[in-house]
Amino acid sequence: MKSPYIGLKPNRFWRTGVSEAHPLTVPDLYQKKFAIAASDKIATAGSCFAQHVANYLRTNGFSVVDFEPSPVFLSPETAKEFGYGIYSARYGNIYTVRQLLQLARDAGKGTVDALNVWTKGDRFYDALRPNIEPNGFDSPEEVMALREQHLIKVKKLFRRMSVFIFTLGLTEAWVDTRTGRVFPTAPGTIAGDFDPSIYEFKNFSYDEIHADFAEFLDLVSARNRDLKIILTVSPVPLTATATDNHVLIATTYSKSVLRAVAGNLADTYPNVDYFPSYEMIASPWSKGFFYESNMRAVNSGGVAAVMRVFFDQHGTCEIPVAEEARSEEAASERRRRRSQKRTPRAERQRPATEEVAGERRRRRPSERSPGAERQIAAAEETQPEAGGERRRRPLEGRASGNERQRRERPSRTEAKAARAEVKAARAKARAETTEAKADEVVCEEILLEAFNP
Amino acid sequence: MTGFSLCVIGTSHAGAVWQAWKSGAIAAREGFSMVVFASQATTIEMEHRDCSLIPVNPTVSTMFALTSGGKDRIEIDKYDAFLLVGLGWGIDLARTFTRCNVVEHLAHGPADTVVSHACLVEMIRAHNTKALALTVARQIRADSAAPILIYPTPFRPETMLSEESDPCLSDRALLDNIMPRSIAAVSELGVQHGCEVFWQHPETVALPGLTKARFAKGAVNLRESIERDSKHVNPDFAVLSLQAILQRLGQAAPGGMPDRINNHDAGPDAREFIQPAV
Repeated sequence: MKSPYIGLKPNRFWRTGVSEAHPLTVPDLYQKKFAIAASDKIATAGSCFAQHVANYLRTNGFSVVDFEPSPVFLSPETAKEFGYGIYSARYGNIYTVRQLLQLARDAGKGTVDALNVWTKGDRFYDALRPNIEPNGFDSPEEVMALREQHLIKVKKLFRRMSVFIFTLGLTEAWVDTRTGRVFPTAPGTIAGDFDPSIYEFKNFSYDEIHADFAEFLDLVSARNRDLKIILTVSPVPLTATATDNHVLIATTYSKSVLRAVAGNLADTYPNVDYFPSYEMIASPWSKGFFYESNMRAVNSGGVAAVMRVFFDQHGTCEIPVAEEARSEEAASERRRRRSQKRTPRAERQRPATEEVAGERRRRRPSERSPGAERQIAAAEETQPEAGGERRRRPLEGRASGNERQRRERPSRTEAKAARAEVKAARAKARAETTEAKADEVVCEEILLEAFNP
Repeated sequence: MTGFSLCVIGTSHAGAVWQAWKSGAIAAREGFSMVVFASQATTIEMEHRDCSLIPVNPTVSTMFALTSGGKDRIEIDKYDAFLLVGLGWGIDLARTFTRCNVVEHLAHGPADTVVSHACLVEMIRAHNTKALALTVARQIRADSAAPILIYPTPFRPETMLSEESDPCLSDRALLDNIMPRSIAAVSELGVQHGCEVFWQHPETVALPGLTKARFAKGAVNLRESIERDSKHVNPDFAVLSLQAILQRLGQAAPGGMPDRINNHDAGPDAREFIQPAV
């Protein structure tokens, strides 16, 4: 007797692939479609879950770009309140594919519409990203001017990113019937007023979402041919539904449609991959232990587990040897990198650009995370006089005269400030490593409890 | 009448305060005394030990001794109030605009980092959270409940308008929008740290965020008296501020007339002070 299931790998069967497998050791759950190189400029966008992805990528040394970085002085917390440092530009959460397509269209044309300014009291909000100013803008003119600036940055981002990680969040949205625009939040929640004669509810279908994404891909790929896209589906359930269904049914519908679209896009396009974070968090496999007590927000253990699978496949800024060997240019790049390894730190420092928020991991036999290493390097780069480089200076100074030594040596205050900065970066790095480890411990504990009662 | 001792800790901006005090133009109550501990901004770092603030850097110790009449440390419990002068605290729009722009800049050409007015105010507030003044205030608060007043770095003189290319520095509507909000935010920050911020006297303000040119003439820092300065102010400016501060502390002389001439205070000579041998 023959069966098409005979001889299949264990991960093709629920018992061996799921019920008997430990979610923290998930072999073959995800097989990457393409590699992410150290030089790849990664952009992120999507729903809330995408925020976690960006953080982990940065911490693990990937080059996550930020075309609208936080202005100076703001603490990371305040910057986040103002929508900085969350995604690769200050677009806030993009829940629907239509919203993403709309952004790409607007960025291409520089379209800014006064109808998309909402009010709350005497303050004004950008209806297309109402969360980016905690207390709103001073005037409609300010909203529109900043949106125009934002679109310029988004246009650059879409042209320059090489990997785009997008988390599909919702199928439900509110549409302005006058313009056809969709909004990330319903009018009347953060700002604006709900007027049923203007705004109508829309629950996007599979076909619409698929077509929207295909159009987005066409638009962006026209100027960015080598773009690679990784899709994920947010495992975060709907806060509320505007359909007539129970929110649980609406959530299942929404996620199912998004998951189906993502799967089909990944099957259709060679440059689109699907990463199964949704399955890891939301399937029976994890028994709901990756959710917070509200059964909605994903806990840190869940994010850590998901990202571990991602990094198992993508490593940390790996450079695919086979691909690289194909071109002479790549070979020379390898030689350059090798020579860099032998070059003193200060000499190989490249100027930091505002666009590159993450730096390639500097590999050291250290317990610190690559992102932590990067922070230290960044601090040292801003104060190249500090540390070992500075210690080498006096010898140079003696060789070429005291005058040069005096000129080159930093003042005591500068050196002290530099040392303090390096020290602070190291402390932050230690804290980050500890935090990442703590996440994993939480994750382990939750699962051990779940699987070994 | 019991005495009242005010401890002034400051950067180069304390030079004008000190000279204002020595000039005898300040009408203080009998028994009021003032001790100035001043040094260049970049070098001040103090260790908090045994109820005292002790400079880490020997140059600062020297400057403190020079400006205070021989004291190389600040014994916190010996003072009834503290006045923190400069110490990185203040609002410098010209400097902020070198780091970011607001929508008004777009009328004058392209700008790279454009932030909202609200974000700009938040940046100004955030900048002050890193000011040395707050570090010193925290150190004082560990040992004393005495009033701590902050005398911010004076606004840049209006003369810079002709020197600086940024047209928004003279945009009255923008300044009227930004400055009151920034002042409120920074003042609130001071209050959160147990300090009261004493902004410069309205009579010294040309445009919001800019000091009248006449107060920059003959400006004083810790090293010399300067005919024209883009940061410092002259003792006339400090007289107005100091008089208001004394009033706030209840140490202004009744009727606004000096109870005494300050010149007979024990302490270094003004000439010595402004030309320290360091």
